[in-house]
Amino acid sequence: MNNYFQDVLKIVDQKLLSDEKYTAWFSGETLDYARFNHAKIRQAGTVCQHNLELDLIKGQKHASATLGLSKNLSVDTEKIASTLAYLRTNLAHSTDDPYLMINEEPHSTEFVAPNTLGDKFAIVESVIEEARALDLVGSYIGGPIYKGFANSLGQRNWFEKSSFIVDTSIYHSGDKAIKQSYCDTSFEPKKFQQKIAAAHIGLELFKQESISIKPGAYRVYFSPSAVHEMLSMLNWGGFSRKSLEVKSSSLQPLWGGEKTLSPAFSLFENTHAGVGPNFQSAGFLKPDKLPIIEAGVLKNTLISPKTAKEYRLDHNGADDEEQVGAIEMSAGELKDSEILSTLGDGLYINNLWYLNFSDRQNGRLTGMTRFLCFVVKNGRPAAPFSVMRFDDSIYRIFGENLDAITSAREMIIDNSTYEERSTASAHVPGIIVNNVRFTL
Amino acid sequence: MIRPLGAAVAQKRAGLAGVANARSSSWNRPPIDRMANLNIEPGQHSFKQMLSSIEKGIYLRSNSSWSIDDSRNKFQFGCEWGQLIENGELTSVVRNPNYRGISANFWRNLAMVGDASTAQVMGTPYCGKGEPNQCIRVGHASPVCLFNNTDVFGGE
Repeated sequence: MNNYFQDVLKIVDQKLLSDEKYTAWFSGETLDYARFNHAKIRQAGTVCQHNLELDLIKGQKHASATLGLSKNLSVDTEKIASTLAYLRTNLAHSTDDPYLMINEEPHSTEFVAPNTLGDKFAIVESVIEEARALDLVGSYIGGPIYKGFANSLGQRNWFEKSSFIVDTSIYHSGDKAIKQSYCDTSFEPKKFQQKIAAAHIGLELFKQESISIKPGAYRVYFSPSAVHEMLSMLNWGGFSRKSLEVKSSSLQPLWGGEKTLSPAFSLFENTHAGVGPNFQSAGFLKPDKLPIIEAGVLKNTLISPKTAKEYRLDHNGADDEEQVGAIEMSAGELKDSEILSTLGDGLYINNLWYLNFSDRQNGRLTGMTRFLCFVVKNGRPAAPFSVMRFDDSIYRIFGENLDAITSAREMIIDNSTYEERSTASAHVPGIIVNNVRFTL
Repeated sequence: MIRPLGAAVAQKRAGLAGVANARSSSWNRPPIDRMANLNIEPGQHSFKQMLSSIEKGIYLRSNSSWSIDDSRNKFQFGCEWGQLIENGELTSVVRNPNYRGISANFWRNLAMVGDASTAQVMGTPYCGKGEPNQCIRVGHASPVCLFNNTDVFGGE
């Protein structure tokens, strides 16, 4: 695929006028998918798509457009020519952009991870076989993602990595279901078997009537999926330097040093271990691993080249959105086999849903429990409980009330597929937290 | 309930005629039943009449935070702006106003609906639904509304 990208760039180079520059962003994927109903294939197919975003630059003026590529170079040549003509027309009506950022120090890179996914037919067969007697609904999505950057100064960056998501809900009855996601870069049948085995335990638990718990403070185990939901909220502008500078971040008191989180809580952007590229859309490079929070203290914020220019800072390769692309939370010491006994009496929360801020300036979150969540008594599952709303501060959840962190972590890949597959991912543990506040 | 929002399957399930609202966010996504244009018809009362009926209350404006369970039952919303209503008058501004409740109970406590002079078309905000999520534009228009017995609270 990289060879094709280089051929496309030769066409762009040939058609460029002497006073013009450009940046180009290539985004492609070859995606196999299967949708399941009742543990049978309902729909299967392949999506193969390649898009090129061209930003045509003349002085400080620029204009951009995205075109779908066909992989037929004669067709693509015509498309590129008409796109450049369109952008030249737009440039004639554009004004200078003071925050136009061009990487003046070209640094070419190439990262091609070996494709270790395994045979797609075997993966789908494995899902069907393991879930044969279950009411499973969901999807398999897998295949390589390609990202490329180039500019007229000769910089060339290429990224290629394969990954998959098996996203399933296994229903007991009505709306009672166990929601699971198995994501990685290579499919291991044993790991999926473990997921199904855990689902069987959940289905047994669902045979009991769900109970309603009263509002109040509870000791809680949050699964890696639930932890990821909460961290995703912090990632919604929380670590963005721009948001911090304009005082709209949910982590303002952490940045200001007025508050800290637990010494056991550390967070990184681990680009190398994620499923996205180590360069951003303007061609600036990201470090392999960036410490964000170390031992409860904010160490780095995400600084895009534009923010760096506006506030006279050094950037760290962040995209314009300044979000952590590959979240990594450090592990603790709690073994999975000891979660229930350590929790003792409390609530076991597998999934959270529809989180938002009830007080953004102070990092207070609210959200709902979802799917299989159950009461634990004396270290044993007692009964599932009906959906409940929590409303609590990240300074309590990841701070003073954080009691234990699991040693095992789960890989979570964002299942968003707007226009194309998301490259956001997380590698997070489960946590036990005291006195989590539930309100409704 | 006269008719639910939903296409053939939802209509059969409800046993009522519906309004076909199945839409998808893109060509490569399955259409799902979801709201499209959801409006509240204006009532009889001016904003001033509504305020003057309130001895102690709160005026909430401009939603800034939203969260509801997947049965659309237990909800919590935050607002950008809130003011106390005291003896029929708008008084002090409050910080970080939020309100929460259970949908059916909340709407049963609807006490007054503002007239056409209070109605606004609230733009075409986004609505998310489905897994993987599908985000699309929706339309909302509403007059001001007065609810009794609503749980309102503030920030830290």
